[in-house]
Amino acid sequence: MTTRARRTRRGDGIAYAFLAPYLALYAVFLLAPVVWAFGLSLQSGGLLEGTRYVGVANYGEVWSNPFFVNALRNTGLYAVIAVPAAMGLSLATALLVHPLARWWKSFIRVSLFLPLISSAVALAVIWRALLIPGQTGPLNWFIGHFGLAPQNWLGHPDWVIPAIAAFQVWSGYGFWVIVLLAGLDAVPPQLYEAARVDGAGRWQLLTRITLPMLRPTLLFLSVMGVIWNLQLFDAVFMLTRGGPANASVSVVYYIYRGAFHFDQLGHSATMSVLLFLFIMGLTLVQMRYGRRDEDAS
Amino acid sequence: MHRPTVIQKKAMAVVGLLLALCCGCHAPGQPDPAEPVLRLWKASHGETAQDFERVLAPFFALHTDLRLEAVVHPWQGWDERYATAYTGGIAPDIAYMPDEFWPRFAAAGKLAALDELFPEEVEAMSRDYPDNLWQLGSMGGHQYGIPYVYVSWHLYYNLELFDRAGLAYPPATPEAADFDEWTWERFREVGLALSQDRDGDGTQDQWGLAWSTLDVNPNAIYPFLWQGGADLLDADRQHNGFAERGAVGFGFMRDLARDGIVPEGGLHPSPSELFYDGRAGMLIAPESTIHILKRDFPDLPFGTAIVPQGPATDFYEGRGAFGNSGFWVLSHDSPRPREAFDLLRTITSPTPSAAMMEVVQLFGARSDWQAPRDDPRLETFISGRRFLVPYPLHPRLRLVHSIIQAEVQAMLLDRRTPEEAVAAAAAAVDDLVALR
Repeated sequence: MTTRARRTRRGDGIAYAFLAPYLALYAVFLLAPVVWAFGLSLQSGGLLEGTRYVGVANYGEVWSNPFFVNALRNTGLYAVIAVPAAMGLSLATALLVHPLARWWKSFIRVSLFLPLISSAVALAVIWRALLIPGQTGPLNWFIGHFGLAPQNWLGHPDWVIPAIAAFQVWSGYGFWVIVLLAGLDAVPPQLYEAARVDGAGRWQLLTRITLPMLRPTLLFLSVMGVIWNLQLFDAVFMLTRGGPANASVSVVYYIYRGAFHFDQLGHSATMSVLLFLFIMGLTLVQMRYGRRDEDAS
Repeated sequence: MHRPTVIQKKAMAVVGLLLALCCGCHAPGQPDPAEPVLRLWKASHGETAQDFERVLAPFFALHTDLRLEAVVHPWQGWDERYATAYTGGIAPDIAYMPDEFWPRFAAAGKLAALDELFPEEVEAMSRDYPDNLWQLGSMGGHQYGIPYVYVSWHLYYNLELFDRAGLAYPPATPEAADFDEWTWERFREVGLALSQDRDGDGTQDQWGLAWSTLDVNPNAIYPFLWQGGADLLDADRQHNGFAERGAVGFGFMRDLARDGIVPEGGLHPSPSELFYDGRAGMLIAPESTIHILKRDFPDLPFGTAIVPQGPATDFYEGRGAFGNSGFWVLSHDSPRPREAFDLLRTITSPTPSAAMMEVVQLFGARSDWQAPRDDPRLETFISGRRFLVPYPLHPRLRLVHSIIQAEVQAMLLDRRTPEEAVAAAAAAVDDLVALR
């Protein structure tokens, strides 16, 4: 073995040594549960009742379960509402905040980040109070000034999904803005200067430089946004428990309820696996299209 | 042979250390039997772990080789906490479980059959409780739970709103002169009279009954179902018990919503607050609400009354009221069953249980428990005990709740008629109880 090869192997050894703690934790706390979930999806029964092997029967059954199909539909709606709304709002905010002085930028960053470090339970309590139905509810009082009728935000099936999606947007919005601000900081100022010299206006700067340069950031945020919203649980758990009439049940909430309330761990594991595969597939598609656009640009 | 380099040795050391850590971890499977601890878990009714330590101090003064590890936790997350603990072999020695919770654990073999382990003591204990409550701790011929509390839900009303509407107060006890007239028809009339646009802006801002089906518990739904003559399961607990007569109660709930007697058509996320704010005339709530109202809303003038009578006079006199009871259970895998059972006996004995009832302001299950007489309104809940409908004990009862609740909500949203909602719920419940 040459000296160079020995050095390379030694370097590999060092790398593995440093990676070992993470890999061990990753294997124990992430990989093993995923593999375990695959195994559980082939079984019927639950935590208390015990499980028995049923092969792939669960995979056929979940599709005929109307509650799962309903939960899938709801979850898709959450993502369809929340991701574009969060993207649009946070992009607009980031574009407004970016030119401000550093002090203001820092202040706004901290303010926007607060919901992320606040307890989800506390946020839910605040939102429940904001969304009280009738004229006394703060949000209803506010929209009343525009001549709009008060709504039962968390108690009516037409409003409950938009209300929870709004909660999702609000609670994750700070993170999106901060990531976009970082993306904007990374755009070389020379590009703007050169474009201005060539006579580009604000709109052209935005569409020809800012947005193309932000494409990797936007791709990252859209992928993460879709993943987070497809995994929606806490807002449903804390605000509605899936009601009214299962109108706000998300897939993950349904999985949780199946595992711990219905004692159907096998079915829940099957749904988890399907959700995992669905998210993975969707993410791959998003990445492929995003990268293709990136390459093309 | 190739000798490992220093770096390789370090890498092996790190991996070895991690493996040693993993292998050396105490498996959470079994509590250490040598550890002199008795573990007690209870979801909070307002008490703390310190309350248990105080009340049980005499027991541990006699058992100096043991110590108490009391955990009082919120109700939220109850299912996952207990399911994982009992499955993972880290269950508490004794735990408090309501009647809708413990059958699931007993059916899975996670609870000790007390009459098998301690037949004489359990037989003696049975004489300390009313028969109906004692029976709620047994399933399949075995006694799993020792009764501890029972919760009685009747009606609260706002005196000021009744006075303003010129309405007579509803009867506080069955001995009241107008008790027989307190029926669904009268209840609906009173509800309509209380439902008003008080400030005259064209929008209703006061309701007859602070009631909603959005609560996580079915407490609001079942009284009307029972008063209409239906039950949750049949006598054999093999099928639903409401397919025939359930539409009566479902229809009444829909009428309350359509008449505007209940806020937001029965889909208000927090209806009790309307009663607390003086914007709803009546509220169905447990006896402990007296204490809460006196403490947190001292200016709210309120009275208490028995729930109204529905058409099913052959079933709990048509006044089926919500009430559930709570039990202490012993883990099947307790490493110290004898000591744990002694602790369970102590908690449920007269002095400690009475002391705890004073803390939580609930009613004790023992026959010799003395109901407090410091507030005459408590008499409603004491005299109204005979109307409390017990839950049919079934491992999947809590799923029955979610099925009925969702169908009532679908009916209130006009997606189904009462008959359709009952039929859908009945079919789903039949499927559920037939599952193995």
